Amino acid sequence: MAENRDSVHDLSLVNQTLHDEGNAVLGRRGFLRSAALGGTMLAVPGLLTAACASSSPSPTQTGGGKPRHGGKLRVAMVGGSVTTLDPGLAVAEIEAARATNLFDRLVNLRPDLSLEMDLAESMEPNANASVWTVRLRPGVEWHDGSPFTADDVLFSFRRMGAPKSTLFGASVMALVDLPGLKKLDRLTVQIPLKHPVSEFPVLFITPQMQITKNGQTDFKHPIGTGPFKYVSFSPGRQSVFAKNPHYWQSGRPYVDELLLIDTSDPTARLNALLGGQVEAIDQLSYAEAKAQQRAGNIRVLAAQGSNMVPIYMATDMEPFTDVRVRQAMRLIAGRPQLIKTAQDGTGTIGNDLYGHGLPNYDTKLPQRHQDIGQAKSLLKAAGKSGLTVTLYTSTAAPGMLESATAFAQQARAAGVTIKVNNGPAGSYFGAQYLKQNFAQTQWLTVPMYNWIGQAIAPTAPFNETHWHNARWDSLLRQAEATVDPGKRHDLYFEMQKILWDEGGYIIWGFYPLLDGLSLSVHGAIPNPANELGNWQFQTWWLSG
Amino acid sequence: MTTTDAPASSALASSVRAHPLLRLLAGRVGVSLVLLLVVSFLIFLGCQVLPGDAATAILGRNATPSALAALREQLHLNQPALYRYFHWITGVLQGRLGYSVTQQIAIWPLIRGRIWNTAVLAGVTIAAMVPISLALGVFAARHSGRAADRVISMGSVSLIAVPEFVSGTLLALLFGVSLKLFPAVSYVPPGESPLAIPQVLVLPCVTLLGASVAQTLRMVRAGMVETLQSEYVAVSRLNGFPERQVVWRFALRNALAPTVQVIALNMQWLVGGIVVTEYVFNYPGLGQELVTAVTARDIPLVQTIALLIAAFYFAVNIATDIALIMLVPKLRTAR
Repeated sequence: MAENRDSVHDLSLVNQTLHDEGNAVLGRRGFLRSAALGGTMLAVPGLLTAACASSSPSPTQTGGGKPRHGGKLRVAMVGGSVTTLDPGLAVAEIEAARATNLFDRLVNLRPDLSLEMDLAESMEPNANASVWTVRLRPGVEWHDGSPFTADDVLFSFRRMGAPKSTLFGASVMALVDLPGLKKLDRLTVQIPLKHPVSEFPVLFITPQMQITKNGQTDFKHPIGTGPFKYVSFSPGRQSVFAKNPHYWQSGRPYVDELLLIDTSDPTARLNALLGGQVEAIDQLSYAEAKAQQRAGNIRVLAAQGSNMVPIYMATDMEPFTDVRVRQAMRLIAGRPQLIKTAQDGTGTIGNDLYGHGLPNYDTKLPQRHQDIGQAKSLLKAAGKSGLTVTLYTSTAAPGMLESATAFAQQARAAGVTIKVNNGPAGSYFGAQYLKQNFAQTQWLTVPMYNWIGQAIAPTAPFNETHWHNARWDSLLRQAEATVDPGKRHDLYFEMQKILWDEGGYIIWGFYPLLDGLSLSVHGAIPNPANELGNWQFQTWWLSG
Repeated sequence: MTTTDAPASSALASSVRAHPLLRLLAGRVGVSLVLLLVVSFLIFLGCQVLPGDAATAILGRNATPSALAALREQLHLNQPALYRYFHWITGVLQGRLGYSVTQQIAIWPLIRGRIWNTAVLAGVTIAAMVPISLALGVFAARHSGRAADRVISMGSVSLIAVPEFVSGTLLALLFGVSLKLFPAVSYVPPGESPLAIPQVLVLPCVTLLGASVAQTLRMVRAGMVETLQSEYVAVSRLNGFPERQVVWRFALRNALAPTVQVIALNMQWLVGGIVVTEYVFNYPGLGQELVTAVTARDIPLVQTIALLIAAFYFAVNIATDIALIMLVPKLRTAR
């Protein structure tokens, strides 16, 4: 995003990256389906304990030493437009970051993308995952000093799931039998579901799923359990939060004050960091990150996950109904070259499968490389030699237009003419989205279960490749019904093999999240789930 | 009430009728109001050309048809565009600026502080621009043809040619990032006036001065060169008046008429230049809000800010005309 120098486009992107970190605005039907997929991605499905509660304590990524207390941490981020601090209504990343630091979730994603227990100490399903028992962390206090209990969780759930609720949690609560929601004791909640969902906990990693205090509906002066307490907030300008001295992660946070400042212009953000006006900024461009790191003025916080701007082919639309054409297009992609052109050489090459760095990602399949000869003969066999096709793209995400153009160049060698159609960034995912046969898209790092539910399951709301495959669907249903994690793991691999052989995505690479830190910042741990180390500012500290 | 009102209003009416300047002013204001209505409609048409709407801007990548429909309903984007325009403009005519679509709050409190911030930036810029350009312009005219004049002229041409986003970025890099003399980014804590932290005004002001001073000083110089060659200046000099008095009291006043127009033009240009400059420096003014509003497809907010800028443009025009008429007696009778 920061790569795009056109300021107007830049701003339009503020709201475009909001969504992917969760199930933000999923259509209800789509979400129900996705949630019913059942999953295997949890390390220990069924029983999640607090054994490894807080994020991995290895703040060595940006310098070690003994954390120093005190100081003011100022962070400039791409601006938002939401005027409330209600976490359930957060849209832009800066809003999700505010929610994350005022409140806590039941669970979150660790830097290695496994599940971390936060306000929940454990989440246990019954035999068929239709009833979940959540044990809550004892000794947690709200910012006003009152204890955190099961009543707060019940209130939050009911508020999210209230009729006509516009909170993002509404789609999760649609799975819950809310009238049957029960407090077993002061710190235990029983959640009956309408359908078995064995990966239910994963749905709570979204930043909008923060637990709010029993009775709180007005967020002018929000009371949370998070590492920072509310001081002031001016929409579109900045928020000021103060250290919560009673935070449950002992010793944290280290800084006394946290300022999140809306700064949409990428040059202004970088200047603010270089000029010493802030300690951290989000969304560095590839070129800036390289240049500044070389100059040694700042540290670059890089998180390599499964973020990608792939090309997709609608498998039920011409000329891509023929699997040979799809495979030929995949063989055309010169992946290292695309990474070089579109991402300034930063990132990891892809193998036409989503999920780099996520549990259950199949790394055993052979890496697909460019093979123009094979591509040509496949096209010939399909009767599609000399194919001409339009590729829809835009500058809606960094590297999209660049990779489309480079891919079109590469296709010439195989006798394929690709016309690149560069649409307006602000409305790229608008009326024409999901109706195009050949286009580009963007996905950020979410648990594989969430991504399948959004992008590739039979009723996924964003089924870009129009993927419908009877055998794959039955494997999916099988996986849903399979309790044994090892067996489910095998089923996931089988599903990925089918996608590798027949799917509609050309996933040529993954790009890292890049943020800039002043040399005085320590303790920031890169986390592919979100920029700025998933906004876990409680682990950050400032040297003098 | 009517008995006291009637004489007062008729007195006003008669004074307007009586005084040609007031009559002119009333006429101009009337025409401007009609033109503002036309402008508001043009702004509305312009907004319609923008691809997408607030719902697609908010949802972005997540825009499923059902999510879009739900959000459009929530944001009241379902009514026809023309209906929303008339709803907005009738509100404006009654003094209500309406509500921001994306922020769901009244527009006036949203932009009140920003209007002040922009006024401060523009005011400081103009306050600095007038004396600097007069001094440089007169200096260049007095040394016309010599090295100093050439340097000033060449410099001003180059400055005019550099867009604000380039000069602003360079200034921020040099004085903000490298030398750390002034803040590279103009953060103004909410609720504080930029006048309380004047250092944040320095770089945006210098950026805006770059182009505006250059234009004005060239006009001052041209007027002065011409005036200094006129007979009455020669006569004054021959009469032994000190050169200082000849230049600043006799010549400059006559050279000022075109300069007033250029200063006015610059004030109008500033409004446009300020949008870019505010964005480059993250200065919390009206321009930055406009960019945000356009990107968020917040049409009522875009329309309101654009209308305010247009109104300012008209106001400066009228003020310039009046100032010129008062400065040049010939124009008073010409009408």
